[in-house]
Amino acid sequence: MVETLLLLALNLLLGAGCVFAVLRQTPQDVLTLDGLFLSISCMVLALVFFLNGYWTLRSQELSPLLQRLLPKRKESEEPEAHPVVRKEVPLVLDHGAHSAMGNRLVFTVWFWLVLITLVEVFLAYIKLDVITMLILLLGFSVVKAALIIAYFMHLRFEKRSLVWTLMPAMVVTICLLAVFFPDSFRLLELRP
Amino acid sequence: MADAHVENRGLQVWGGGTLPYSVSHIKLGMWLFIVSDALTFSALLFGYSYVRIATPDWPTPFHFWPTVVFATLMTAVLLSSSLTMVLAVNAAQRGDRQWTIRWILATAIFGAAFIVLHGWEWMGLMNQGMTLTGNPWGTPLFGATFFGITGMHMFHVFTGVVYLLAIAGGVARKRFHSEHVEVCGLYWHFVDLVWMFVFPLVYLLSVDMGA
Repeated sequence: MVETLLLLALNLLLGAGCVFAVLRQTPQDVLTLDGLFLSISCMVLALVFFLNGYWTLRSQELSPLLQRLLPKRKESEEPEAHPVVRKEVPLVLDHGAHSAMGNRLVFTVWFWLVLITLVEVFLAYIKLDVITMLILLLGFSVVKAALIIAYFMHLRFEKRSLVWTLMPAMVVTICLLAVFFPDSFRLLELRP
Repeated sequence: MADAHVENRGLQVWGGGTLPYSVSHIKLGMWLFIVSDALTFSALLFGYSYVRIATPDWPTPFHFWPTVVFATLMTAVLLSSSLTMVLAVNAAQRGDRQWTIRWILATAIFGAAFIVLHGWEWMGLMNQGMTLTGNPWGTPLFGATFFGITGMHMFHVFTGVVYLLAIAGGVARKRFHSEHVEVCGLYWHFVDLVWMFVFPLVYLLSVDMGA
């Protein structure tokens, strides 16, 4: 109950903040491209927060409170408010195979992650040309990301179909963003 | 009877009776969110790289002390928080409620330490005159991208700390089970993972080499 009310207050606050950000703009700013972008983004965010607040208000938990606050329309059609029953759940559900990683493996992965980080910091202080440096740093970062995904995020031990659904789509989409780089080099050449 | 058995099995496999990824809906949902959030961050980092390539006077002002030392320490803090998160998940899967809560709280404390260190570092940079709209070293885009990317990441860390505390409370009140802890861990590791790209691209490629 308290958490839900806090959540509601937070939603209203954030929504009001977004509306405030729009209202703070001077009228001529609103019509520029940046101003329009900011206004639309803020209005959408405000809508999201207010809708969230509205749904929170209508949720099962708050509806008794709301009914007490609001004047009753018709006595007859009022459904009995169902009290929310919180069931206690056991910590371990017995479905699904648990393959908890051994502590030794976890610490080994952590050790390598820290080691690679230190190597990266060391690399930053060696004079290399930018491209080599970028490739080295990004290469190490990809290795670290792969370690985190495979072991900490447990993907190595999930069903392969999950891996094949998530990873290629993500990697391909991220790589597609590189299509913008020729344009940035062109921009550099165009500068006076 | 044998036919009925086969038919039944067929219904289970093709009629939606089995889980195609053998994970629950909360875990699959979190994975889908993580993929979309990864695209958000990669768009930010690609945007940063784009303006950096296109700008000739991009400054590289970061000194070993305090910025790089702080950032390295923050990386270590985040990595250690991932470690405690894995231990929390392991404890939850063992059914050890007390240690689950302890490890989750340890993770949240590491996360809070990250936010404090990062805020401290931000204050130092702002005292040197670096803001969203300008800095004493070169193009204003430097401050904008720096605060934009690290701010977005810090927001994720903050959300993660809130999430962790909520999960710890839920585990203590016996509302959540080990899978909730595991899914929360997925989010937390993802935040860690993003920092593994922010750290070299934003910090290490901007160190002052003394010309």
